[in-house]
Amino acid sequence: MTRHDPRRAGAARSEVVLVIAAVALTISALMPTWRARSVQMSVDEAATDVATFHSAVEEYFASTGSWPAPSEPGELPPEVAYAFPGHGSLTHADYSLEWSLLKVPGNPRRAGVPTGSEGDTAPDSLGGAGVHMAVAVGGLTVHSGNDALLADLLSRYGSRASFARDSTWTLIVGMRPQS
Amino acid sequence: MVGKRKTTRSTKQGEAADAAEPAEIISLDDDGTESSGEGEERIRARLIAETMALAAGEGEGEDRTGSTPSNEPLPSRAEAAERGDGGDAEDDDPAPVPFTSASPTRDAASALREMQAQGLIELPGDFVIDLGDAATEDERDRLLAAALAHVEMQEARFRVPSETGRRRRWKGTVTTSLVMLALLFAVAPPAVLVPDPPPGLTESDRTYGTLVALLLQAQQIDAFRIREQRLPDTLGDLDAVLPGIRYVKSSSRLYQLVTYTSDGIAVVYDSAAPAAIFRRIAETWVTTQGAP
Repeated sequence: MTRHDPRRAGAARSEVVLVIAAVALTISALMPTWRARSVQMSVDEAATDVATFHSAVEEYFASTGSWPAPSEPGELPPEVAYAFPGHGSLTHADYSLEWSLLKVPGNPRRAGVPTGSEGDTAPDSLGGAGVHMAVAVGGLTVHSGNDALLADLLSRYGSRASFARDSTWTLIVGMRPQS
Repeated sequence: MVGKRKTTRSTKQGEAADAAEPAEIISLDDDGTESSGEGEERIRARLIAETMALAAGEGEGEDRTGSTPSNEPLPSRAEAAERGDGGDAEDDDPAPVPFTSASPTRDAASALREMQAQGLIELPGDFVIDLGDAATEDERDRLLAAALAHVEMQEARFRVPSETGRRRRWKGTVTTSLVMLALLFAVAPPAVLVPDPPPGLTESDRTYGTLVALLLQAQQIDAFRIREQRLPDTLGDLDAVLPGIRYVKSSSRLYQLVTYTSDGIAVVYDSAAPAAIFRRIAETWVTTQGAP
Protein backbone atom coordinates (compact mmCIF):
# COMPACT_ATOMS: atom_id res chain seq x y z
CA MET A 1 0.00 0.00 0.00
CA THR A 2 2.67 2.47 -1.01
CA ARG A 3 1.88 5.83 -2.38
CA HIS A 4 3.89 8.09 -4.66
CA ASP A 5 3.78 11.67 -3.57
CA PRO A 6 4.57 13.88 -6.58
CA ARG A 7 5.15 16.93 -4.39
CA ARG A 8 7.75 15.11 -2.36
CA ALA A 9 9.44 13.80 -5.51
CA GLY A 10 9.51 17.33 -6.88
CA ALA A 11 11.08 18.60 -3.69
CA ALA A 12 13.75 15.93 -3.84
CA ARG A 13 14.50 16.82 -7.45
CA SER A 14 14.80 20.50 -6.67
CA GLU A 15 17.17 19.72 -3.82
CA VAL A 16 19.32 17.57 -6.09
CA VAL A 17 19.43 20.34 -8.69
CA LEU A 18 20.36 22.80 -5.96
CA VAL A 19 23.24 20.62 -4.82
CA ILE A 20 24.44 20.11 -8.40
CA ALA A 21 24.37 23.85 -8.99
CA ALA A 22 26.38 24.44 -5.82
CA VAL A 23 28.95 21.85 -6.87
CA ALA A 24 29.19 23.41 -10.34
CA LEU A 25 29.75 26.82 -8.81
CA THR A 26 32.48 25.48 -6.56
CA ILE A 27 34.21 23.75 -9.44
CA SER A 28 34.07 26.80 -11.68
CA ALA A 29 35.38 28.97 -8.84
CA LEU A 30 38.30 26.65 -8.17
CA MET A 31 39.09 25.97 -11.82
CA PRO A 32 41.55 28.91 -12.29
CA THR A 33 43.49 27.83 -9.22
CA TRP A 34 43.62 24.24 -10.41
CA ARG A 35 44.74 25.38 -13.85
CA ALA A 36 47.51 27.54 -12.38
CA ARG A 37 48.59 24.69 -10.15
CA SER A 38 48.67 22.37 -13.13
CA VAL A 39 50.89 24.80 -15.04
CA GLN A 40 53.20 25.16 -12.06
CA MET A 41 53.41 21.38 -11.71
CA SER A 42 54.34 21.10 -15.37
CA VAL A 43 57.03 23.77 -14.92
CA ASP A 44 58.45 22.00 -11.89
CA GLU A 45 58.44 18.69 -13.72
CA ALA A 46 60.29 20.21 -16.68
CA ALA A 47 62.84 21.84 -14.38
CA THR A 48 63.42 18.53 -12.65
CA ASP A 49 63.90 16.74 -15.98
CA VAL A 50 66.33 19.39 -17.17
CA ALA A 51 68.32 19.23 -13.96
CA THR A 52 68.43 15.44 -14.10
CA PHE A 53 69.47 15.43 -17.74
CA HIS A 54 72.07 18.14 -17.14
CA SER A 55 73.62 16.21 -14.27
CA ALA A 56 73.59 12.99 -16.27
CA VAL A 57 75.38 14.44 -19.31
CA GLU A 58 77.90 16.27 -17.17
CA GLU A 59 78.59 13.04 -15.34
CA TYR A 60 78.88 11.19 -18.63
CA PHE A 61 81.30 13.80 -19.96
CA ALA A 62 83.37 13.67 -16.79
CA SER A 63 83.72 9.92 -17.05
CA THR A 64 84.17 9.54 -20.81
CA GLY A 65 85.47 12.88 -22.05
CA SER A 66 82.78 13.11 -24.68
CA TRP A 67 79.16 14.07 -24.88
CA PRO A 68 76.30 11.68 -25.52
CA ALA A 69 75.30 11.42 -29.14
CA PRO A 70 72.65 13.88 -30.34
CA SER A 71 69.07 12.74 -30.27
CA GLU A 72 65.83 13.74 -31.88
CA PRO A 73 63.33 15.85 -29.91
CA GLY A 74 61.76 13.72 -27.21
CA GLU A 75 64.23 10.90 -27.71
CA LEU A 76 66.18 9.76 -24.71
CA PRO A 77 69.89 9.28 -25.43
CA PRO A 78 70.85 5.77 -24.35
CA GLU A 79 73.95 7.10 -22.58
CA VAL A 80 71.82 8.88 -19.99
CA ALA A 81 68.82 6.58 -19.98
CA TYR A 82 69.79 5.35 -16.55
CA ALA A 83 68.92 8.76 -15.14
CA PHE A 84 65.29 8.38 -16.27
CA PRO A 85 64.21 4.97 -15.07
CA GLY A 86 60.86 3.97 -16.48
CA HIS A 87 60.95 6.69 -19.14
CA GLY A 88 61.10 5.63 -22.75
CA SER A 89 61.22 9.15 -24.07
CA LEU A 90 61.58 12.76 -23.06
CA THR A 91 58.24 13.81 -24.51
CA HIS A 92 55.63 15.02 -22.05
CA ALA A 93 52.24 16.58 -22.43
CA ASP A 94 53.53 20.12 -22.12
CA TYR A 95 57.11 19.88 -23.31
CA SER A 96 59.79 17.71 -24.86
CA LEU A 97 63.56 17.65 -24.50
CA GLU A 98 66.16 17.49 -27.24
CA TRP A 99 69.87 16.89 -26.94
CA SER A 100 72.22 18.27 -29.59
CA LEU A 101 75.89 19.03 -30.04
CA LEU A 102 77.14 22.48 -30.97
CA LYS A 103 80.55 23.72 -32.03
CA VAL A 104 81.76 26.84 -30.36
CA PRO A 105 85.06 28.65 -30.50
CA GLY A 106 87.45 27.38 -27.91
CA ASN A 107 89.43 29.66 -25.65
CA PRO A 108 93.08 28.72 -26.21
CA ARG A 109 94.36 30.56 -23.21
CA ARG A 110 91.88 29.00 -20.80
CA ALA A 111 92.09 25.63 -22.45
CA GLY A 112 95.86 25.70 -22.45
CA VAL A 113 95.98 25.37 -26.21
CA PRO A 114 98.69 27.37 -28.01
CA THR A 115 97.35 30.28 -29.93
CA GLY A 116 97.75 29.95 -33.65
CA SER A 117 99.01 32.65 -35.93
CA GLU A 118 96.61 35.12 -37.41
CA GLY A 119 96.90 33.37 -40.73
CA ASP A 120 95.30 30.27 -39.35
CA THR A 121 92.01 31.93 -38.73
CA ALA A 122 89.20 32.66 -41.10
CA PRO A 123 89.72 36.27 -42.12
CA ASP A 124 86.18 37.40 -42.82
CA SER A 125 84.36 36.35 -39.74
CA LEU A 126 84.05 37.14 -36.13
CA GLY A 127 86.02 33.99 -35.65
CA GLY A 128 89.00 35.72 -37.17
CA ALA A 129 89.69 37.37 -33.88
CA GLY A 130 89.42 34.35 -31.64
CA VAL A 131 88.51 31.10 -33.26
CA HIS A 132 91.57 28.97 -33.30
CA MET A 133 89.86 25.76 -32.48
CA ALA A 134 86.28 24.60 -32.18
CA VAL A 135 85.06 22.61 -29.29
CA ALA A 136 81.83 20.71 -28.94
CA VAL A 137 79.36 21.66 -26.30
CA GLY A 138 75.99 20.24 -25.58
CA GLY A 139 72.72 21.92 -26.25
CA LEU A 140 69.78 20.84 -24.14
CA THR A 141 66.68 22.28 -25.75
CA VAL A 142 63.20 22.29 -24.26
CA HIS A 143 60.38 22.64 -26.77
CA SER A 144 57.19 23.96 -25.24
CA GLY A 145 54.32 26.21 -26.10
CA ASN A 146 54.08 27.20 -22.45
CA ASP A 147 55.70 30.61 -22.23
CA ALA A 148 55.79 30.47 -18.43
CA LEU A 149 57.71 27.22 -18.54
CA LEU A 150 60.38 28.71 -20.82
CA ALA A 151 60.60 31.85 -18.69
CA ASP A 152 60.96 29.79 -15.54
CA LEU A 153 63.82 27.77 -17.03
CA LEU A 154 65.50 30.95 -18.26
CA SER A 155 65.32 32.47 -14.79
CA ARG A 156 66.68 29.30 -13.19
CA TYR A 157 69.72 28.94 -15.47
CA GLY A 158 70.32 32.57 -16.39
CA SER A 159 70.76 34.27 -19.71
CA ARG A 160 74.51 33.67 -19.86
CA ALA A 161 74.21 29.93 -20.15
CA SER A 162 70.84 29.63 -21.79
CA PHE A 163 68.54 31.48 -24.09
CA ALA A 164 64.90 31.34 -25.10
CA ARG A 165 63.69 31.80 -28.61
CA ASP A 166 60.27 31.28 -30.13
CA SER A 167 58.93 28.19 -28.38
CA THR A 168 62.27 26.80 -27.26
CA TRP A 169 64.70 27.27 -24.45
CA THR A 170 68.27 26.03 -24.87
CA LEU A 171 70.83 25.39 -22.19
CA ILE A 172 74.42 25.28 -23.36
CA VAL A 173 76.07 22.49 -21.43
CA GLY A 174 79.82 22.67 -21.09
CA MET A 175 80.19 26.42 -21.24
CA ARG A 176 80.67 28.64 -18.29
CA PRO A 177 79.91 32.32 -18.41
CA GLN A 178 82.85 34.66 -18.02
CA SER A 179 83.07 36.00 -14.52
CA MET B 1 -11.12 18.53 2.00
CA VAL B 2 -12.70 19.68 5.16
CA GLY B 3 -12.81 18.53 8.65
CA LYS B 4 -16.36 19.22 9.54
CA ARG B 5 -17.32 16.84 12.31
CA LYS B 6 -20.65 15.62 13.37
CA THR B 7 -21.30 13.42 16.36
CA THR B 8 -23.83 10.70 15.80
CA ARG B 9 -24.62 7.19 16.81
CA SER B 10 -22.98 4.44 14.97
CA THR B 11 -25.25 2.67 12.61
CA LYS B 12 -23.63 -0.64 13.16
CA GLN B 13 -25.93 -3.42 14.19
CA GLY B 14 -25.42 -5.84 17.02
CA GLU B 15 -24.59 -5.62 20.63
CA ALA B 16 -20.99 -4.71 20.11
CA ALA B 17 -21.97 -1.78 17.98
CA ASP B 18 -24.67 -0.72 20.44
CA ALA B 19 -22.28 -0.88 23.33
CA ALA B 20 -19.72 1.23 21.55
CA GLU B 21 -19.32 4.88 22.28
CA PRO B 22 -20.80 7.30 19.82
CA ALA B 23 -18.38 7.44 16.96
CA GLU B 24 -17.24 10.58 15.34
CA ILE B 25 -18.14 10.67 11.72
CA ILE B 26 -16.03 12.98 9.73
CA SER B 27 -17.69 14.62 6.86
CA LEU B 28 -15.33 15.12 4.02
CA ASP B 29 -17.61 17.47 2.25
CA ASP B 30 -15.87 20.58 1.22
CA ASP B 31 -17.38 23.53 2.95
CA GLY B 32 -14.42 25.82 2.39
CA THR B 33 -13.45 26.19 5.99
CA GLU B 34 -10.18 24.34 5.56
CA SER B 35 -8.47 23.83 2.33
CA SER B 36 -4.87 23.17 3.13
CA GLY B 37 -2.99 19.92 2.84
CA GLU B 38 -2.57 19.86 6.59
CA GLY B 39 -6.34 19.42 7.14
CA GLU B 40 -6.30 16.58 4.72
CA GLU B 41 -3.48 14.96 6.58
CA ARG B 42 -5.29 15.36 9.87
CA ILE B 43 -8.40 13.77 8.49
CA ARG B 44 -6.43 10.85 7.18
CA ALA B 45 -4.67 10.37 10.46
CA ARG B 46 -7.92 10.62 12.35
CA LEU B 47 -9.60 8.09 10.12
CA ILE B 48 -6.88 5.60 10.75
CA ALA B 49 -6.88 6.29 14.45
CA GLU B 50 -10.63 5.84 14.64
CA THR B 51 -10.42 2.63 12.72
CA MET B 52 -7.81 1.31 15.08
CA ALA B 53 -9.75 2.44 18.13
CA LEU B 54 -12.92 0.86 16.88
CA ALA B 55 -11.17 -2.37 16.12
CA ALA B 56 -9.56 -2.46 19.50
CA GLY B 57 -12.88 -1.71 21.26
CA GLU B 58 -14.77 -4.39 19.44
CA GLY B 59 -12.09 -6.92 19.91
CA GLU B 60 -12.03 -6.81 23.71
CA GLY B 61 -13.67 -10.12 24.42
CA GLU B 62 -17.08 -9.15 23.19
CA ASP B 63 -19.10 -11.61 21.23
CA ARG B 64 -19.46 -10.72 17.68
CA THR B 65 -22.69 -10.92 15.89
CA GLY B 66 -23.45 -11.03 12.26
CA SER B 67 -23.19 -13.41 9.49
CA THR B 68 -19.77 -14.59 10.49
CA PRO B 69 -19.80 -16.55 13.71
CA SER B 70 -17.10 -15.56 16.11
CA ASN B 71 -15.92 -19.07 16.55
CA GLU B 72 -15.68 -19.72 12.88
CA PRO B 73 -12.35 -19.09 11.19
CA LEU B 74 -12.40 -16.15 8.87
CA PRO B 75 -11.85 -17.01 5.21
CA SER B 76 -8.41 -16.67 3.86
CA ARG B 77 -7.45 -14.80 0.70
CA ALA B 78 -7.67 -18.01 -1.32
CA GLU B 79 -11.12 -18.76 0.02
CA ALA B 80 -12.24 -15.30 -0.72
CA ALA B 81 -10.98 -15.63 -4.22
CA GLU B 82 -12.89 -18.86 -4.68
CA ARG B 83 -16.04 -17.15 -3.62
CA GLY B 84 -15.32 -14.46 -6.15
CA ASP B 85 -15.21 -11.77 -3.52
CA GLY B 86 -12.66 -9.47 -5.00
CA GLY B 87 -10.29 -12.11 -6.24
CA ASP B 88 -10.47 -10.82 -9.78
CA ALA B 89 -7.53 -8.56 -10.27
CA GLU B 90 -8.89 -7.37 -13.61
CA ASP B 91 -11.95 -5.90 -11.98
CA ASP B 92 -11.73 -2.14 -11.63
CA ASP B 93 -14.15 -2.00 -8.72
CA PRO B 94 -12.58 -2.98 -5.47
CA ALA B 95 -14.07 -6.25 -4.33
CA PRO B 96 -16.04 -6.22 -1.11
CA VAL B 97 -14.31 -7.48 1.92
CA PRO B 98 -15.98 -10.74 2.91
CA PHE B 99 -16.76 -9.89 6.48
CA THR B 100 -19.71 -8.60 8.38
CA SER B 101 -20.09 -5.01 9.23
CA ALA B 102 -19.80 -5.79 12.88
CA SER B 103 -16.39 -7.33 12.55
CA PRO B 104 -13.37 -5.14 13.10
CA THR B 105 -11.99 -6.34 9.84
CA ARG B 106 -14.98 -5.07 8.04
CA ASP B 107 -14.78 -1.72 9.81
CA ALA B 108 -11.16 -1.31 9.01
CA ALA B 109 -11.81 -2.30 5.43
CA SER B 110 -14.65 0.17 5.24
CA ALA B 111 -12.44 2.92 6.55
CA LEU B 112 -9.78 2.05 4.06
CA ARG B 113 -12.35 1.94 1.25
CA GLU B 114 -13.55 5.32 2.31
CA MET B 115 -10.04 6.67 2.24
CA GLN B 116 -9.53 5.13 -1.18
CA ALA B 117 -12.76 6.63 -2.45
CA GLN B 118 -11.54 10.01 -1.36
CA GLY B 119 -8.24 9.51 -3.09
CA LEU B 120 -6.20 9.52 0.05
CA ILE B 121 -4.77 6.06 -0.46
CA GLU B 122 -4.53 3.48 -3.18
CA LEU B 123 -5.69 -0.08 -2.73
CA PRO B 124 -5.09 -2.99 -5.07
CA GLY B 125 -8.03 -4.29 -7.04
CA ASP B 126 -8.00 -7.64 -5.30
CA PHE B 127 -7.73 -6.14 -1.88
CA VAL B 128 -8.60 -8.70 0.78
CA ILE B 129 -7.66 -8.60 4.40
CA ASP B 130 -6.11 -11.99 4.75
CA LEU B 131 -6.12 -13.29 8.27
CA GLY B 132 -4.57 -16.55 7.15
CA ASP B 133 -5.01 -19.39 9.53
CA ALA B 134 -6.06 -17.25 12.44
CA ALA B 135 -8.80 -19.17 14.12
CA THR B 136 -9.31 -17.40 17.38
CA GLU B 137 -10.67 -13.99 18.09
CA ASP B 138 -7.51 -12.87 19.80
CA GLU B 139 -5.42 -13.98 16.90
CA ARG B 140 -7.59 -12.08 14.48
CA ASP B 141 -7.44 -8.98 16.58
CA ARG B 142 -3.73 -9.24 16.84
CA LEU B 143 -3.35 -9.60 13.10
CA LEU B 144 -5.74 -6.77 12.50
CA ALA B 145 -3.90 -4.51 14.90
CA ALA B 146 -0.65 -5.38 13.21
CA ALA B 147 -2.11 -4.61 9.80
CA LEU B 148 -3.51 -1.30 10.94
CA ALA B 149 -0.26 -0.41 12.60
CA HIS B 150 1.47 -1.15 9.33
CA VAL B 151 -0.92 1.16 7.52
CA GLU B 152 -0.32 3.82 10.11
CA MET B 153 3.40 3.44 9.74
CA GLN B 154 3.21 3.77 6.00
CA GLU B 155 1.03 6.81 6.30
CA ALA B 156 3.46 8.33 8.75
CA ARG B 157 6.23 7.87 6.25
CA PHE B 158 4.37 10.06 3.82
CA ARG B 159 3.24 12.50 6.44
CA VAL B 160 6.05 14.84 5.62
CA PRO B 161 5.40 18.51 5.35
CA SER B 162 5.25 19.32 1.71
CA GLU B 163 6.99 22.29 0.33
CA THR B 164 5.07 25.44 0.20
CA GLY B 165 5.10 27.48 -2.93
CA ARG B 166 7.23 30.10 -1.23
CA ARG B 167 9.88 27.57 -0.32
CA ARG B 168 9.90 26.16 -3.83
CA ARG B 169 10.33 29.62 -5.24
CA TRP B 170 13.20 30.27 -2.84
CA LYS B 171 14.96 27.11 -3.94
CA GLY B 172 14.40 27.91 -7.59
CA THR B 173 15.84 31.37 -7.17
CA VAL B 174 18.91 30.07 -5.35
CA THR B 175 19.44 27.31 -7.90
CA THR B 176 19.16 29.72 -10.82
CA SER B 177 21.55 32.15 -9.16
CA LEU B 178 24.09 29.42 -8.50
CA VAL B 179 23.92 28.17 -12.08
CA MET B 180 24.32 31.67 -13.45
CA LEU B 181 27.28 32.34 -11.16
CA ALA B 182 28.87 29.04 -12.15
CA LEU B 183 28.55 29.93 -15.83
CA LEU B 184 29.93 33.40 -15.20
CA PHE B 185 32.89 32.05 -13.27
CA ALA B 186 33.57 29.48 -15.97
CA VAL B 187 33.48 32.03 -18.79
CA ALA B 188 34.98 35.07 -17.08
CA PRO B 189 36.26 34.28 -13.60
CA PRO B 190 36.67 37.33 -11.39
CA ALA B 191 40.19 38.53 -10.75
CA VAL B 192 40.04 37.60 -7.09
CA LEU B 193 39.65 33.95 -8.02
CA VAL B 194 42.40 33.91 -10.61
CA PRO B 195 45.92 33.59 -9.22
CA ASP B 196 48.62 35.77 -10.65
CA PRO B 197 49.86 34.22 -13.87
CA PRO B 198 53.47 33.07 -13.85
CA PRO B 199 55.78 35.50 -15.62
CA GLY B 200 56.38 34.80 -19.27
CA LEU B 201 59.22 35.66 -21.57
CA THR B 202 59.86 39.35 -22.02
CA GLU B 203 60.66 41.01 -25.31
CA SER B 204 64.24 41.52 -24.23
CA ASP B 205 64.53 37.82 -23.40
CA ARG B 206 63.30 36.95 -26.87
CA THR B 207 65.57 39.47 -28.58
CA TYR B 208 68.55 38.26 -26.65
CA GLY B 209 67.67 34.70 -27.54
CA THR B 210 67.48 35.61 -31.21
CA LEU B 211 70.92 37.22 -31.09
CA VAL B 212 72.44 34.25 -29.25
CA ALA B 213 70.88 31.86 -31.74
CA LEU B 214 72.39 33.81 -34.66
CA LEU B 215 75.77 33.87 -32.99
CA LEU B 216 75.68 30.14 -32.24
CA GLN B 217 74.71 29.41 -35.83
CA ALA B 218 77.56 31.58 -37.07
CA GLN B 219 79.93 29.66 -34.83
CA GLN B 220 78.74 26.41 -36.36
CA ILE B 221 79.57 27.80 -39.78
CA ASP B 222 82.98 29.03 -38.63
CA ALA B 223 83.71 25.65 -37.11
CA PHE B 224 82.76 24.04 -40.40
CA ARG B 225 85.01 26.43 -42.28
CA ILE B 226 87.95 25.61 -40.01
CA ARG B 227 87.38 21.94 -40.48
CA GLU B 228 86.52 21.95 -44.21
CA GLN B 229 88.42 25.07 -45.32
CA ARG B 230 85.33 26.28 -47.08
CA LEU B 231 81.92 27.68 -46.32
CA PRO B 232 78.98 25.30 -46.29
CA ASP B 233 76.70 25.47 -49.27
CA THR B 234 73.64 25.19 -47.07
CA LEU B 235 72.94 24.93 -43.40
CA GLY B 236 72.19 21.29 -44.03
CA ASP B 237 75.92 20.69 -44.28
CA LEU B 238 76.28 21.52 -40.60
CA ASP B 239 75.90 19.16 -37.69
CA ALA B 240 73.67 21.53 -35.76
CA VAL B 241 71.09 23.82 -37.26
CA LEU B 242 68.97 26.19 -35.23
CA PRO B 243 65.48 26.57 -36.65
CA GLY B 244 64.21 29.78 -38.20
CA ILE B 245 67.54 31.03 -39.50
CA ARG B 246 68.18 31.72 -43.16
CA TYR B 247 71.71 31.34 -44.55
CA VAL B 248 72.94 33.44 -47.48
CA LYS B 249 76.34 32.65 -48.94
CA SER B 250 77.37 35.87 -50.65
CA SER B 251 80.84 34.69 -51.72
CA SER B 252 83.28 31.92 -51.03
CA ARG B 253 84.40 33.80 -47.92
CA LEU B 254 81.36 35.79 -46.79
CA TYR B 255 77.92 34.87 -45.62
CA GLN B 256 74.93 36.36 -43.84
CA LEU B 257 72.49 34.87 -41.41
CA VAL B 258 69.00 36.34 -41.21
CA THR B 259 66.25 35.73 -38.73
CA TYR B 260 63.27 37.64 -37.41
CA THR B 261 62.16 38.72 -34.01
CA SER B 262 58.65 38.05 -32.76
CA ASP B 263 57.75 41.54 -33.96
CA GLY B 264 58.84 40.66 -37.48
CA ILE B 265 61.99 42.74 -37.40
CA ALA B 266 64.85 41.21 -39.35
CA VAL B 267 68.09 40.58 -37.51
CA VAL B 268 71.15 40.04 -39.67
CA TYR B 269 74.52 38.57 -38.84
CA ASP B 270 77.04 39.62 -41.46
CA SER B 271 80.26 37.65 -41.25
CA ALA B 272 82.20 40.54 -42.76
CA ALA B 273 81.14 43.07 -40.14
CA PRO B 274 79.18 41.54 -37.30
CA ALA B 275 77.31 43.96 -35.13
CA ALA B 276 78.97 44.94 -31.90
CA ILE B 277 76.25 43.22 -29.89
CA PHE B 278 77.40 39.85 -31.23
CA ARG B 279 80.93 40.52 -30.10
CA ARG B 280 79.73 41.51 -26.66
CA ILE B 281 77.65 38.37 -26.37
CA ALA B 282 80.54 36.24 -27.59
CA GLU B 283 82.77 37.71 -24.92
CA THR B 284 80.41 36.54 -22.19
CA TRP B 285 80.68 32.91 -23.27
CA VAL B 286 83.86 31.07 -22.41
CA THR B 287 84.37 27.45 -23.16
CA THR B 288 85.92 25.65 -20.27
CA GLN B 289 84.59 22.17 -20.62
CA GLY B 290 83.74 21.55 -24.25
CA ALA B 291 85.05 18.44 -25.88
CA PRO B 292 87.55 19.00 -28.70
